[in-house]
Amino acid sequence: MGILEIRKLSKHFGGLAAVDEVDLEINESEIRGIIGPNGAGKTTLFNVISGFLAPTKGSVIFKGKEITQLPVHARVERGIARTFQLTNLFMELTAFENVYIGYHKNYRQGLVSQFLHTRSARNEYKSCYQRTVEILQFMGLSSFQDMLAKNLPFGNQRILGVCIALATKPSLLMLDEPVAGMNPEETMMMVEVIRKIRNEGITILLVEHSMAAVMNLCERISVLDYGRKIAEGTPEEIKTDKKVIEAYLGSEEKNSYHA
Amino acid sequence: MLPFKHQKGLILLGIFLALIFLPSIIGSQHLIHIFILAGLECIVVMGFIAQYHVRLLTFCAATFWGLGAYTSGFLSTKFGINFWFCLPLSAIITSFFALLIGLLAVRAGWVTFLMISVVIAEVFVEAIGHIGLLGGWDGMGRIPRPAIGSYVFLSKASYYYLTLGLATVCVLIFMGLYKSAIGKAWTAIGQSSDLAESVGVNIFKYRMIAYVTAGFTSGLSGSLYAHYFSYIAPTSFDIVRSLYVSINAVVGGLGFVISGPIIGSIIIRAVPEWLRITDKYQPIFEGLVIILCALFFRKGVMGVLSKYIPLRR
Repeated sequence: MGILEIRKLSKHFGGLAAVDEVDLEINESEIRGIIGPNGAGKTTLFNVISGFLAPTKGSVIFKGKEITQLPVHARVERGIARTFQLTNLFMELTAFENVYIGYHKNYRQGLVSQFLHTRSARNEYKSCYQRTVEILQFMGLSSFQDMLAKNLPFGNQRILGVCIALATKPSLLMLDEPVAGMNPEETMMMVEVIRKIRNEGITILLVEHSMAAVMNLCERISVLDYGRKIAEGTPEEIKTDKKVIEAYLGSEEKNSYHA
Repeated sequence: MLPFKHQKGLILLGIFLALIFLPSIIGSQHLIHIFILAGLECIVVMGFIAQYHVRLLTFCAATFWGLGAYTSGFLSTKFGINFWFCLPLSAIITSFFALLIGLLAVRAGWVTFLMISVVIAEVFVEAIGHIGLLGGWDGMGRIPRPAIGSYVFLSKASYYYLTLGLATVCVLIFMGLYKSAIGKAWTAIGQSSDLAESVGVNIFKYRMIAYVTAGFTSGLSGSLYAHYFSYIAPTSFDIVRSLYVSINAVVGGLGFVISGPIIGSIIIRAVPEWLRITDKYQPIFEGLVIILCALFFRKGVMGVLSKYIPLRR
């Protein structure tokens, strides 16, 4: 059984079905891509899985347990982390502090001992500090750690976003358009980083627009169109899938009609 | 040279020492009175800023203050309870009220929260005004001065030290919170609540902590207020007073969680006195300071000072 299972998930906005009875199963430590034309419901699906939106119907099952009704922070507690499509960082804080905050859910000490700075709480702060250093090193941002997030170069801001998500020690990392708006070099950097994370045993689910990155990176791809899943398979299969080509380019009849 | 971290500690220590010797430097009893007021107010402002830090904008900061004052006044005049028990009791009761209000209001969006706080501020004044047991609109008088054994805190200077002690306790409470993981979560919520949520911060819980802590410290300050004036009236804690609290916060600098309230309260309270601005012109002075802050010093007075003193925030 996969780490994440989605059964007959629907999300309606008024009369519009943004996500329509989608089934999805993601296996442990794979890199899964979700693609689809604009407005296919990718981001909505993403928000439903991470808990920012409540589904209209269907269920989300993570590690064998139903999490459909859980709030966001409880999902993070269970090991689902996400990044945002638009760069979303704690802009006024340094890169180091950004990642440090990401460690939040791993505190085991109670509020009182945190407040009183007991020995065990201080030890925890220390280990948190240590882990922050490690993550920044792992992701190659060490040299930027004292810069304010808002002053970082764009590519590094996006990577910092991934660092924050990583600090929560997730078992499933969800990336919302990780390479959107990046130049080819930055894209390569990000692709490398995502591979590295997967090699640590973390499952990755990503929504992406850039075909090159998706084909290069993902082991399996699911294609959404008008809220429905229309295809699923390896990049090669997807490339030649008739339905997918139709969804992206329009069918021949439609084309001739437009012409 | 000392690392920045220690520099900041030293500066706070310096301010603290200066405040200890203040009554012997300034002879005027009236000025000491002003500093007592500033001290009591700065505790409430710290609570206001803690709430602002998690993006809860409140218009009922002075209501918590009043709750503390009335609890303390009621307990000491009606039941003859000693001040030293009234002080923690009024803090606990005020934070209990904060908990109840918070459970209803904190979950709401910020506009709703703001409106609820306005309602609370208005209802509090009206309610107290109509409760005869609490003195109604005439206010509650004859609240005894605190005492240790046979020593009664009667002189301004003795009361000044009492206030300073309490303010120090509140500063330590807030510093402890801001330095701990709780404070980190607060900062995270203030900077981006979506991102905070996505790293596992329970936003409601941490907002409640800020809200209830503000209730607790404001209750402490209110209790001391009641026993200092020995007379309190509902109109002392109306919405205008709450506005003044937010003005102090803005003038001090909203980003400066400890030093901002201290500096802001002193400036708004003490500087007009020093400059011998009479009551008639005080609103003009306050208005001028606010306009200046809004136009040029968006980060408050501390924002300006921190440019010249290399402080780490």
